Amino acid sequence: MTTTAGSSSEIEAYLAAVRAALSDIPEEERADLLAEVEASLGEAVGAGERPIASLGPPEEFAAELRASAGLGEQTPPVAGRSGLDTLRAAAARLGRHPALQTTVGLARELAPAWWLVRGCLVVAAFAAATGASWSIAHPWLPHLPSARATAFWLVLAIVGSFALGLRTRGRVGAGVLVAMLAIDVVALLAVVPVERHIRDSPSADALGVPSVVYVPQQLPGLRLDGQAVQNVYPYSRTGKLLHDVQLYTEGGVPITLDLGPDPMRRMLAAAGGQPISNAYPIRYYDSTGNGKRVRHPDASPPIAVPQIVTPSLTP
Amino acid sequence: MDTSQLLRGTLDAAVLAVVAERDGYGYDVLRRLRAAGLSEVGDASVYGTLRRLYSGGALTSYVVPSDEGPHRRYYGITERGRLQLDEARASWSGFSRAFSALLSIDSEVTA
Repeated sequence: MTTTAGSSSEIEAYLAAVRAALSDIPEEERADLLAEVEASLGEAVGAGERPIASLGPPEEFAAELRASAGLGEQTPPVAGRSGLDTLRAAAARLGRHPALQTTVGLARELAPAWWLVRGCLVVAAFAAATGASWSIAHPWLPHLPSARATAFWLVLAIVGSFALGLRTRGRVGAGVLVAMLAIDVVALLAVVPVERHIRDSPSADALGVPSVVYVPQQLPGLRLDGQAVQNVYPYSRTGKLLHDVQLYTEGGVPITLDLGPDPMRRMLAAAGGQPISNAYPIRYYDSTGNGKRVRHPDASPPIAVPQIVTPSLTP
Repeated sequence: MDTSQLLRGTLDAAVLAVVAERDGYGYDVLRRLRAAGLSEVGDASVYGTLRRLYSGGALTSYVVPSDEGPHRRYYGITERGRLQLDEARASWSGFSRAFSALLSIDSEVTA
């Protein structure tokens, strides 16, 4: 027998190791079990009947204790696990969480939407990677090499994305899963350059591209079908050309033409000397004369003015 | 066959039998089992079994102060423990008969 007076510290160390190996057992149960072991071992070893060496490694002792006490399989203490194992356990716990299962279910239902976006993103990623030009009117549409060709590639990519999604909907191998994840990651990364391109693309206006814009007309003068009227020829009921007929709008505003200043225009005046510019037809002086002779006073458009047969309003 | 493997399934009955004979504390039970011929019984197995039988209500326990060392936790058998021991005895004797017969026949055939 090798028992010495110093064996109590040996027992302490042995018990500490056993205690550590049982760290996953509920505290109360472990305390009861260890109290039994402590008392018995203290007596056995102290009496010199059971040297520590005969008890075997403390881990084996703990495993035997655990099995005989009906405490189930040994689960390795958390501290002893590798990081990956801890991660796996955490993932498994998370996977059983009802909120996550609901989320996964929702994600499965929304997956087709992602497949659609993924197809578009793959085409956009290709365009961004190859430096293709982009549509000016639709900044999100690259030219590969034309908008029409892009439409073809888009359809192809979306169909491919859906086919891939449907094929891998069930349980698939890890390799396929990793490949799918890689495609998804690439598609997601493409969001960045595409978004930047769309944000940075100059607007159509800045590039001088004509755009149909309604601008309220505020042009001076009298216009017919958008064209400035140069003169007005009033005729009587009988078709006789009238002279110096003053025209007004329903609001009493003189109807004038936008002709600009012209020294040769025969300007009319009222009694007080005020100019009258809404009298028609407008006539011009003869430039060859002394400025008082009116040129072609009876000139008129080459038209046959009909006679009015509706009874006259004039009494 | 290794005796320790045989012991694994029968240790409950052995511990109950020892305690039924006379109340005992952990190391005492171990010593008596060894003295009875079960020299390969493990220390930890006996302590674990004692705790499990106690938790299951087959054993009762009480602490006896000791002048020399720490207090000793004694175990005594309960009514439930006696029933369990009776059942174990019955099944063991049946098993033992059958197994003995089997092994003796086998030894005769191969001898």
